[in-house]
Amino acid sequence: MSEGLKKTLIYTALATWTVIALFPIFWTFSTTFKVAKDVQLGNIVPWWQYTPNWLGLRSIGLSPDTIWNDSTPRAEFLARFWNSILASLGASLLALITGSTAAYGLSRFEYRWKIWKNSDISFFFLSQLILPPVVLAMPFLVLYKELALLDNLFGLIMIYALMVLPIVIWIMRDQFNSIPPELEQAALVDGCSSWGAFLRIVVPIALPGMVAAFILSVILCWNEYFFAALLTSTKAKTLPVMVASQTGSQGISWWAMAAISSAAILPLILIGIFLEKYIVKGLTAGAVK
Amino acid sequence: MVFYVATVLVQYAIAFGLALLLNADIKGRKFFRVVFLLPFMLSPVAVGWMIGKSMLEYRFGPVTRLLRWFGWDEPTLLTSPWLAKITVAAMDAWVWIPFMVILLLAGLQALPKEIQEAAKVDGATGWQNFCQITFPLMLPVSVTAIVLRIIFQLKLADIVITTTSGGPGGATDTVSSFIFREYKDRSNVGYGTAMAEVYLILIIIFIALLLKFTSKYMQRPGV
Repeated sequence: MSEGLKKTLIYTALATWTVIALFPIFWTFSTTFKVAKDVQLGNIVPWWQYTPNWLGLRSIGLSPDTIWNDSTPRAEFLARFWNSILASLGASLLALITGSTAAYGLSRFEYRWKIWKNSDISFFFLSQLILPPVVLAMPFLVLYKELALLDNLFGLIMIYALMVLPIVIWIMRDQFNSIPPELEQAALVDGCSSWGAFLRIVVPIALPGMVAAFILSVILCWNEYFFAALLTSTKAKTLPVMVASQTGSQGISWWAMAAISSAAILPLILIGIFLEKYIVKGLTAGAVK
Repeated sequence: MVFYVATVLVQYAIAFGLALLLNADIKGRKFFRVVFLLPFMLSPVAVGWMIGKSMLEYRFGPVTRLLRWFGWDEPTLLTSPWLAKITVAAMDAWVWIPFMVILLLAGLQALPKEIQEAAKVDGATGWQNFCQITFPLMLPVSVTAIVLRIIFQLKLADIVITTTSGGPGGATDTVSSFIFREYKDRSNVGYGTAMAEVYLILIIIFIALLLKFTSKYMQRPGV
């Protein structure tokens, strides 16, 4: 095969997949600006086949012409959006703090209880990844009812933190293992406490890994639907639940659905574009060496 | 369920192909990498809506339209049992292929270049090079990626719930989505919990066996 032909084939394949990957995203954003007729005719190209319309944004009260009016849908939407942000950031922060301290311990100190050692502890942490959330649903529902944490954002944050904790520990342990222990030993000799050595020496070096773990957990929490659907009803409802609950009732208003979905995916797309490096780092930690 | 797990292998094949392409000497690799990553980050619920409900809409979705244009009159993508199953699997693949691409790409980039160059000098063709050098060297990463994917696949639920609610006639249900609907829609708590317990035991046995058989090929024994 000649070099030129090979190049063409490679680029064609890449371009095909690019279209496959991007078209649904484009479709969602563009549907936001379509009226019913354009959706049903399957018009694709804006301005040429149809005129963009503020309908979708107006349905959540965010279009430029109605942005100054009071609107209940907007209040509802912003509340969900805010819940999602709080839940994902809060849970990620909590998981990052507990997870990285746990990972540091696993990476630096020797624990032993009968026949169980460090590697068994980490495997135990990781094995939580295997657990399908549905198995935990009932126990948590009962537990949260007892603790009066149902429909409570704090409860949701706790459960999300639990959910992403194994991933954070996995990434961070990998990160800490790659830092030579001599660095902290030097700090200890110079009179740092072990917490001082951790905070002043190790954390700054491990920061890229921490950012990676943090971003990955934000993504996972942001997208979480399962527990949010089960454990929240009105106050603490998050964006994915809102998206899913729109589909059921009588005829779907496509533009409104598209507007909410766009809002649900837009932050992630921005994260993806600007912080891709960290996501890749987080995903490949531990799996590839 | 078994069907969905089996599709992991197809996903793996596609992902490996894409990773190889990305690893080739191309311009704009960063752009392609970001684009390839995006589907993975989107919320499954939004995916269920935007692909499942909107693009595959029977009357006017762009995909059904395209299929009609190719001369398929009745593209019942979500209403005939087998097709619905394949459709859901395809959507799931759309979300998860990027994950595998990234793992495999990282693996490919970590491979020492010298070996391939040596093989080239010795007169190996591209195909031989791939079969006898790249693929065996990638085996640990591949096994890791596949095992991780199988583990995640056992949890597959949100796409099914939002797109088909398990229909038609339960054809697309996974265990997770079935239990979820048992709780949420039918409030059948006892049955759901019993199923969840049995499922948990099955998963533990399955994963334990899986890890036992694969861990010697994996990058890191014991995950």
